[in-house]
Amino acid sequence: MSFFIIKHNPANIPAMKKFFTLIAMTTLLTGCASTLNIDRTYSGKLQDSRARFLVIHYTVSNLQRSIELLTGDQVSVHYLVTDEAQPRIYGMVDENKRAWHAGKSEWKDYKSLGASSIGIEIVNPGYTDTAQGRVYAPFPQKQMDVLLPLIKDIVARNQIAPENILGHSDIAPQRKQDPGPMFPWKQLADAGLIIWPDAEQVKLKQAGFEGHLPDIAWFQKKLHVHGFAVPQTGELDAATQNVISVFQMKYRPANIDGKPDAETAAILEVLTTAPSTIGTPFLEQTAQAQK
Amino acid sequence: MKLLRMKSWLVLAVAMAVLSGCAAGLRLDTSKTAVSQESRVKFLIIHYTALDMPTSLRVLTQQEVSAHYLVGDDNPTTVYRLVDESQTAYQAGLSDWKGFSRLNPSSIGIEIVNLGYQDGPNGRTYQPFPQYQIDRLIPLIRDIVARHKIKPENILGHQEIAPQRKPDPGPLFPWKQLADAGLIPWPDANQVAALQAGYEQQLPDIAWFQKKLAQHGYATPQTGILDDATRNVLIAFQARHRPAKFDGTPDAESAAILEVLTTTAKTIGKQ
Repeated sequence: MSFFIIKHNPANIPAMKKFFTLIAMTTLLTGCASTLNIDRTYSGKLQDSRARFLVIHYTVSNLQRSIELLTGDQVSVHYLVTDEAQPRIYGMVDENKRAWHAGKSEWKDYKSLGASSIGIEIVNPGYTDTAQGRVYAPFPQKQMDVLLPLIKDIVARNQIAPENILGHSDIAPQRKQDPGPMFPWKQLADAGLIIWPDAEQVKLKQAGFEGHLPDIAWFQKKLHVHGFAVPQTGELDAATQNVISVFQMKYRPANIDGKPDAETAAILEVLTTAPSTIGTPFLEQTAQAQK
Repeated sequence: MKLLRMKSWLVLAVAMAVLSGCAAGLRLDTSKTAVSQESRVKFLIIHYTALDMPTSLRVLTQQEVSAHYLVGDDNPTTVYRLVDESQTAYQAGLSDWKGFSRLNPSSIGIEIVNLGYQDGPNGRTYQPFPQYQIDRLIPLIRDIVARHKIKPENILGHQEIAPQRKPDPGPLFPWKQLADAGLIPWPDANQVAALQAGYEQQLPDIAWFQKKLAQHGYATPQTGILDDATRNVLIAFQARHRPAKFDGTPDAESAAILEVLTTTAKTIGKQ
């Protein structure tokens, strides 16, 4: 009865509207939290971003095809850097979400890095096999000038450790070549983003290794310490050669034949023994103490 | 007047800068969105704290471990959210499941206040979970699982992902209630009984158990030998699926449950 009266009193309509709006808003605000009744008074001290790794890829396909593939139902990536005259960055997956870019992968005993990484695809045709051997396409400087600030931004926001900025081939050396030997990792080092072996130290160690090259077991052990999934067989099998080749692509791209040599040994030795020279490995020290 | 105009202009500029955020500096094109994307959270891990309520809260907020949720032992039970679900909490540690390892970045962790076990003259006794605590836990799990689309087979105990190191949530955790709530798969009792009769006649060898345990998801040695590591995996399996006896010894009932779990379709929802 009272409802009937209100309904027919024009003066009361705005008041009624307000009342319903209030009810609607209250319902919206409380949401499912009201049924679950969660206490948010306290906060864990030890927490960080779910994105622990940054993985760099090349697409092999041209821009249009890359977009088609990356918006399809098979693969995806957080960011796509184009090869246009003025390269663009597409943000295709929110960083809070998992994109399908890593596949079967491993780094420092983490397996299947899709959930724990952010992926960047760069439009680049990859390689062509010619009579003179495999030829990789270069990355235009304009593309790098767009890529570097993007990496810097992602790394800062997610506190990604320098040693966790990786190529797709680093985490899947048996399957993947990208971003390949033309990718200018040194520019990332110069920007303070990744660790780079000190040239003087490498020279010094190399002189020593020239006379006495460490055995395969040494290479396998060191490559594992560095982060790779690598067989520990003491034999230079195909899988081990793939890992050495991927390592060379990054740090010694002039020769990526996958064969152990003094320079490769020297770089590996410097990288695995020298203390990391940039930043602080975020939470790495507490990783051991984890429950 | 002039000053006021300048002020509002400044406010506008600041507001614009805040709104555009880093995107302005990076000039992100968001016109293309990937359809193939999902939550970073793939696993839900259940723990007990082995500590009383105040100590649990202190350790999980101030020390080098954390969890997304802490379910108290008070009645009515308080549920604390200690770490936002978008963040990694440090609860899983060294862990493995189905080819995934180090599950912290890919999981949500729930700690339950429960004292765990005590070793006495009559052996090890575990503390039960009061029903009011479980009544609070199940809606929490349901909510998390729905939002992240976590698969039923990826709702796990800490012991399952770290069988060499961890005993929680222990044999008294009522997994069957999670199955009854349609949250996890449960082996069909008739199928188990039928297979068990066969296995009573001839128990499969250790290599069979190791293969099946690995197939189910556990990190298991494939040695053909009943070593300590394999026993620990069997203990983890039994503590969850056959809590009446979890001594890590292979037997016909364990074999039957394992066979049903690894071969039949997930019987979620059908009880």
